[in-house]
Amino acid sequence: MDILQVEHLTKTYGSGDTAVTALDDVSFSVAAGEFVAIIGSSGSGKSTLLHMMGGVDRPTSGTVLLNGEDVFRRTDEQLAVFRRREVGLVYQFYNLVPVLDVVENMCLPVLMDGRAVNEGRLVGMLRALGLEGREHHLPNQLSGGQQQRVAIGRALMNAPAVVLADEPTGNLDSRNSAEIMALLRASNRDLGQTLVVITHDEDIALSADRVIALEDGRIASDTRAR
Amino acid sequence: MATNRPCKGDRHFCTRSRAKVPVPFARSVFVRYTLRSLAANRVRTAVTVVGIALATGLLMAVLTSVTSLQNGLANQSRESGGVWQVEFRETDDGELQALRDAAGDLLDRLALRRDLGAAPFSAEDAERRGTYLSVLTLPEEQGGTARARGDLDYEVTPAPTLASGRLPERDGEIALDSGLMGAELAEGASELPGTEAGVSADGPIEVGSTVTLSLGRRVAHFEDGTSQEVGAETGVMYQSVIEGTDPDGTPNVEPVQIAETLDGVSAPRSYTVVGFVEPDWSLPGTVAYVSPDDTGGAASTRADAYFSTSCASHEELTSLVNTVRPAAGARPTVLNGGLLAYEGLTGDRRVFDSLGMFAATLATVIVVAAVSLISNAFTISVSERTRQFGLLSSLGASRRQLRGAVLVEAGALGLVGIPLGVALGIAGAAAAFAVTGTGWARIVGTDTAVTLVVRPWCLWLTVLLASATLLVSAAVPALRAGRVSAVDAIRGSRDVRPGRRLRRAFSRRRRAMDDFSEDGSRPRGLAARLGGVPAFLARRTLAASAGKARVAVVSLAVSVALLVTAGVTGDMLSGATGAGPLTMTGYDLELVAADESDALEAPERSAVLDGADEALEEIAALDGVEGAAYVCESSTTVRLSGGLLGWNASADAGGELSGSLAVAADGIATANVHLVDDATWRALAEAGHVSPEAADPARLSALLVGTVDVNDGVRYGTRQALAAGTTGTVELLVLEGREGYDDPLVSWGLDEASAYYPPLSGSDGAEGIELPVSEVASVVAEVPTTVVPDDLGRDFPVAAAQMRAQFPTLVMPARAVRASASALGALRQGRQTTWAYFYARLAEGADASQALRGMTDVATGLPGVESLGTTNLAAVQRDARAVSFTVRVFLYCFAAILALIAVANVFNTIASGMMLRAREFAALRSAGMGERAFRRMILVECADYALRGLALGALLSLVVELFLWQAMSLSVSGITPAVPWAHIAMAFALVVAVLAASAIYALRKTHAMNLVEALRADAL
Repeated sequence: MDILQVEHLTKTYGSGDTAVTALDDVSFSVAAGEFVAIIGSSGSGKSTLLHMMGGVDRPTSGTVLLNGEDVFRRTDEQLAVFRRREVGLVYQFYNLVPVLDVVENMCLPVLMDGRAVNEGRLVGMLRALGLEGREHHLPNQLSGGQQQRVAIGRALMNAPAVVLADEPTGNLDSRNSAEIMALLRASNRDLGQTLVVITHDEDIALSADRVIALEDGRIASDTRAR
Repeated sequence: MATNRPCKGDRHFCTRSRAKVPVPFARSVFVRYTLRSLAANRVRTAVTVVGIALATGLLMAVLTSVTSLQNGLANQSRESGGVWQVEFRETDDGELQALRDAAGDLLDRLALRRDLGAAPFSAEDAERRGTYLSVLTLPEEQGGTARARGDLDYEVTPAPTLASGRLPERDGEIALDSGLMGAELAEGASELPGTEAGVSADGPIEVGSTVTLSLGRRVAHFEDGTSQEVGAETGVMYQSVIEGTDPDGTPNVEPVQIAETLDGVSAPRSYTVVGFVEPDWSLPGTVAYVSPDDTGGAASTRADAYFSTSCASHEELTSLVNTVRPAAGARPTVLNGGLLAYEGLTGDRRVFDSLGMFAATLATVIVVAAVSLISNAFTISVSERTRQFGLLSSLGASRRQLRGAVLVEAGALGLVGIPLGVALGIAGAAAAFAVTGTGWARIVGTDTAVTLVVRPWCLWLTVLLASATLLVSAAVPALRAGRVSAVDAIRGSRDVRPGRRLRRAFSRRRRAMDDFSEDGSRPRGLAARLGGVPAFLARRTLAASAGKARVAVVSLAVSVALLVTAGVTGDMLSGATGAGPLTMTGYDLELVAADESDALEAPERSAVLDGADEALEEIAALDGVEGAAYVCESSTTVRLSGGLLGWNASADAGGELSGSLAVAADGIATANVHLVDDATWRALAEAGHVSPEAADPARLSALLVGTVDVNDGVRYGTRQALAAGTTGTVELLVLEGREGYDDPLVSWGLDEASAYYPPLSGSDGAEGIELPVSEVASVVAEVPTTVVPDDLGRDFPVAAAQMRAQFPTLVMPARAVRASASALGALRQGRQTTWAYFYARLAEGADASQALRGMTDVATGLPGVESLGTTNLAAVQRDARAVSFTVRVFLYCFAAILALIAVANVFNTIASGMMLRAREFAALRSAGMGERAFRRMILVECADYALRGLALGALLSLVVELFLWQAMSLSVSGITPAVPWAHIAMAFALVVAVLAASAIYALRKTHAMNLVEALRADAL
């Protein structure tokens, strides 16, 4: 079953002579539980695509359907609810809230939804993410790898329909990179978490179920592994 | 190598080119870097420059305004009293030479006035003119002085003001006191024992007459046998003579005998009268002036020297004076205290005059505001670039270079902002003075408009203060810039360090769930319980960045204080100048007339009242008069009855009405009565104040003013004694006379009114008697009365302020009172003189003085009436308006600039602070925070700032107000410090509005930034 459908997505920046088309009529779909890697050179439109799938940016034309529902039919307020319930976003630069500690950062989407934090899930995730003993540290007291793990924890906390990660290891050394990817892959494998990862890293791309290559805003290839 | 190359141009250049190249290069890199970052952030740069310019400009404007005013006051003093600083009385050539030698270039101007002696009037003339005619030369300026100060616009000591003719120009000419104009002098003995009169004239004295004077030197003889020569400025000395004893046995001492003689009396000399001068009230007796080179006079003449110097301090001036004239000498030395005070040369430095202290307080407020504004701007500018500084530092920039970069920024901003501010300040003050110069002249008391004076020291002080402010403001951020850690900066971790409180709170949390409430549904803490996640986030931000929050709170507090200060200053100044003109009426001219004292022989009539209608007709017919009215004023004993008894006695519970209340609890009162002409009464009827049945001025009826001034000794206000429209009766009372006693005086206690009959003068030892008014009074007329408000419209000639000054005040038609013998009798009781005020309205362009003369002629033409003088109400009102306009212009300018500084301050702090958090906001939104929740978070943060800012701001403004109040109470009494709630509320509202606008602007800005961009914002 396709959990995510991207249809004729186009994004143009600017207008007239200076218009730049970042995405040009991109269509594809992602099945539930799938691990998709999106690759492409700088400026090929990867991040733009990801942000639109996450409801952070609006397309010029085209639709994104999540669980069959049009993401951009929603009002801004509904879009915010969508972001905290249906997607988990992970960035290259972590983007943690500097004044909140590890646990508070992780639970932010849950709290903003007005729901109670599931202690078992939280403790389990802290253990899985290797953040035990760091629960009450502020982001600036953590290493880059630890901060990225908090960001992943935040993305997974609400058990979203899809986790979207934008070069999650781009800012990390190889050991931390491997750890982060192992975490993501484990969530995909063990929890059936649908995962879309933008990456430059060939190893990561090769470990995905499916690799979509973007070139100048168009899909150049869409290959399924095995 | 440079030396191997052919060297073109300056050799020095070539050799210097071998010096360390990197230093200027590196420096220029930082300068370029700074300028570029200034250019990159145009809004903030502009706000900062404008802030510096505003603060500098306001400082400059305050300083120049104060010095201009001081100069205006000094000029007023110079205009009326001359530029002299020191007067040496009884000086001589030797002393003047000593003065020239000691002072050198410091001696600025020097004038000499000789006292040629005095001639005694005959004893008969002396009664009106004083014992002597003293003869002085006109002051003559002496050459050969440095004239360094250059204030040649005024005389050293002014010549007397001419009343007619001209001043004496050559030997043998004389100008006499105008009191002698037309006088015929008597001959005979003078008041001096054994001395004949020394002043004589050929008939009535006028220009061209000849007067003959025998001038001598006055010598005062003291009881201890010593004697002393005295001059024109000394009053006549009398000797005390004991004449019998008083009934109680004490000696009856009466100063009767003159203890002076005239020495060295000259032969009689004739003078030609060439003019008359206005009397100089500072000199006793009568004074005449002759030309400086006059050769007449007593055998020995005296001279007074007046001089000004270029001394820079009081000490310099006194030491100069003491060198020439040691303090112990018998000859008096006089300092021109008023002028020296304005010139800043008085010794007592402790006493700040009101103006100076006011300016100092305002300047302090401005400097504090400027420091807050500018340092905010710098703090923000530096924290915005923390990562840049870290990067630069990682690239090898030293701490000094980073500090330098911030200081270069300060320098660049100052280079633009300070001159701009100085120009703005001068231009603003010049514009304000151009508009208000004449208004200031009225306040200061000069004829010439007060003009802007820019003193170099003001300029330097402003530049110095502004630069110091800039340096202080930049110093802290510069230090911080130097301390930015390269690692921190590059790691991109925001400089959020947990404060001690937050760290302690976290250290107590062990389990993961400790961050949440029991049920895990919300974060811990009161804020989350009350306001959910948004409030929790807001509180956490405030707690985590307590330093930044404090900066914001202080800046809001300063803004609140600035606005309150502007308001309080306004209140104080407008209160001090009486912005509400008291004489606001629709009439331009006023003439006061009274019954001539002779008319009192027929006490049942009043000549003024009887002639008023005729006079009014004549005044209305005068050229240029468009309309006229009269009000005859009297007072009488009345009893308020009917509805009027309900006057609000409880209003006086605190004794507030004391002074304005002339009524007793039983309704007996002494009423002020205004009798008005027919037209005025009919106009009152038309305006609805008089009931239709009473509209006929021949019918006896009255209006009672229901409002009264209250004054609890501190504040002024008004109270409603009776509601307008209340009707009742005023009984006019006549008190019976008593044999052997004078007419009774009515006094009002809290209960019953009493009449006091004083004993007739001459009846020795008799006591007065006091009786209740009800026992001695009989009602002679019952007048139906309606209560009216104090303001009876522009056509009513008496101002509202005067109508409510005393309760009860009645208005009655003059015609009806004149026709009723009993009413008139009541008004005339106690032989009260009736006063009549005639008012005229001028036609456009009519000559006021001609109309005033015409009015005076009309009044003097009436039998039994004496004209007491005229007032040009229009001119008085114009002056009052000029004064209040002036004060307002300055007030509004001041308030506007303070408000601008306050607004810039709030904007800078709040907007920049939020824009810096663009990435954090984006993170929150991408994590699913909705717009509403986000707004609530911002709202809670802003509310926190606002409340803390208000509390601190209110406190600050109270301190400032206290200082202002102290400054004001040096010159104005009756001002009490009160918490300016209204101003605080208004300031708070404005600050909240600006806070909201800034937050909205900042949020728009961060929202306009694509969420995607914001998330990646590298802050570089």
